[in-house]
Amino acid sequence: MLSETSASPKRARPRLTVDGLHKRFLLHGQGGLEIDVMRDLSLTLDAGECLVLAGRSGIGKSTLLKMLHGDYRIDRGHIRLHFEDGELDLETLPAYAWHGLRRDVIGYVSQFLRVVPRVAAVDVVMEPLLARGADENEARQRAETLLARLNLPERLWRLPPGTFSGGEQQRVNIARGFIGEHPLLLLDEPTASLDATNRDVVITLIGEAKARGAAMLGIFHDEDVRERVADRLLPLDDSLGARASVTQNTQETLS
Amino acid sequence: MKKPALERPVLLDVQDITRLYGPGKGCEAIDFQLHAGEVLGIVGESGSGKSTLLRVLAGMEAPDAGRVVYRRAIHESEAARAGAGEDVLDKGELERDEAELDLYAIGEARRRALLRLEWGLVHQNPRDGLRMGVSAGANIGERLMAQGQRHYGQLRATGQEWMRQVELDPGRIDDAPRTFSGGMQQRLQIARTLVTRPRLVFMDEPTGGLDVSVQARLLDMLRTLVRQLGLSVVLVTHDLAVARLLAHRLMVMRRGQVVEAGLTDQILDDPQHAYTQLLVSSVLTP
Repeated sequence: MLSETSASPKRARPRLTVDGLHKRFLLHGQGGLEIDVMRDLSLTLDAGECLVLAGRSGIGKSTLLKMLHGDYRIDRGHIRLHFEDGELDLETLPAYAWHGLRRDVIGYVSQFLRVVPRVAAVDVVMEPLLARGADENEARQRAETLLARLNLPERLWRLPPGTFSGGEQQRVNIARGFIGEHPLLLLDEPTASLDATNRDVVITLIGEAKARGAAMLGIFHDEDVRERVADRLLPLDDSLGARASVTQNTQETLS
Repeated sequence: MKKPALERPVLLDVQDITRLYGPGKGCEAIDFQLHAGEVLGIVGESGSGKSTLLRVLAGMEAPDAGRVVYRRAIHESEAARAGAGEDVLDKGELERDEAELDLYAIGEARRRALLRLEWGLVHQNPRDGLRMGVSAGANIGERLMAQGQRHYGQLRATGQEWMRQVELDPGRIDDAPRTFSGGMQQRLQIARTLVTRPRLVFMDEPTGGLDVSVQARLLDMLRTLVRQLGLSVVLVTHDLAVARLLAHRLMVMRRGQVVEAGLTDQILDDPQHAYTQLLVSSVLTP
């Protein structure tokens, strides 16, 4: 069990609690290789705070975010969201219930942009709002405002991001992630390939999200950014995972 | 903040469906529920039974065992809200107050009425879904006419509106589909299917026979239509990239059986079954 380094001075209501989370990958194609990427991880995240995950690469930081977003299955342990009128346990949530949860509650800014090819950047950004039935003009305006704040040149807004540079794609991704103002935001290195100016914009966006009460869990390799956004640090170390072991061959014959 | 409303009513309840042509050929003991507004992808290699399953679900082939139950009670209120040409619908064969329809217990006539009035089917090959000899406008209007619309001017206006919606030139409304390219034919088939605003749509490899350059546009169009019309979709595809972009949830089939099911991201990023792991790790990325 891991303890958090510094408790925030005044405790708000928790928005998220994670208790005794485990994750093991079993690779059938690798002779039944088992990789324990996470062991007994627990944390609490309050509304309006940003908790930053720290630790060497491969320690399971992204894995945690993916489990919280439903991209990875939850093998063992509990993930619980807290609302004014009750709680929601994610490890027992049926698949269909995740659609609405991702649309309205849990937002995710991944490192890589994955979109339909040939769709314009501005349409990519406004999609989370349209999914909630927002007015198209209003959604477009908010998307353009965000892209402008992130200094994406206006001539690129109507172009599909497939041919954009890494930094430009990342800014499209950030705009798409922040536009929905989700109450829980998962940030997987949103500033990785940005210049100093745009890093500052992202830091401001994170500050605004805190101000409106969003809870954030993030990975930031840039120490300067980390210091400026983190309310608390959660260091992950080897006691938590990244150990591989080969068990008996469980591979099914695939003929 | 308040707890979000995550419950979604079940639209299609598939109970223990089996349709076998021989050992391991066809589909066996398939059980799942499709919720309103969901896009469910059925993936697997050729011969896995996914197309057989789709034919059974879509009312084209009776199963050896099991039931396909359509819960249409929720449809009525939603259709009323959308105002989907309710006044012209001739639902004679489908009693309106019936909440559940057992697809293969209701008889041929009522099943046909259901397919015509409330469901839609998009074939892989547009030639199977279109009438190649009659005009594009007549193709789009046919399902509306089957629902009782007779006003020529209105049918034509709707036809043009739908051609615009699927990015076809409305000026070609009098041209026969055989003068269209494959991608245009597929878009016309989609317009023909969706014009009646079906609640539930079945799609069999909708981007299958198309050039890659045409596929992307069609995928974007389908996503937009699913959102705008609030469609529920069962999509059969062997293409995991298409499944990733369109489907909320996936079922992986192999030798007639479902080996794994779950959220699309979970199936593709954290596959559990040996076969799914093999399938996912075998995809070529350019």
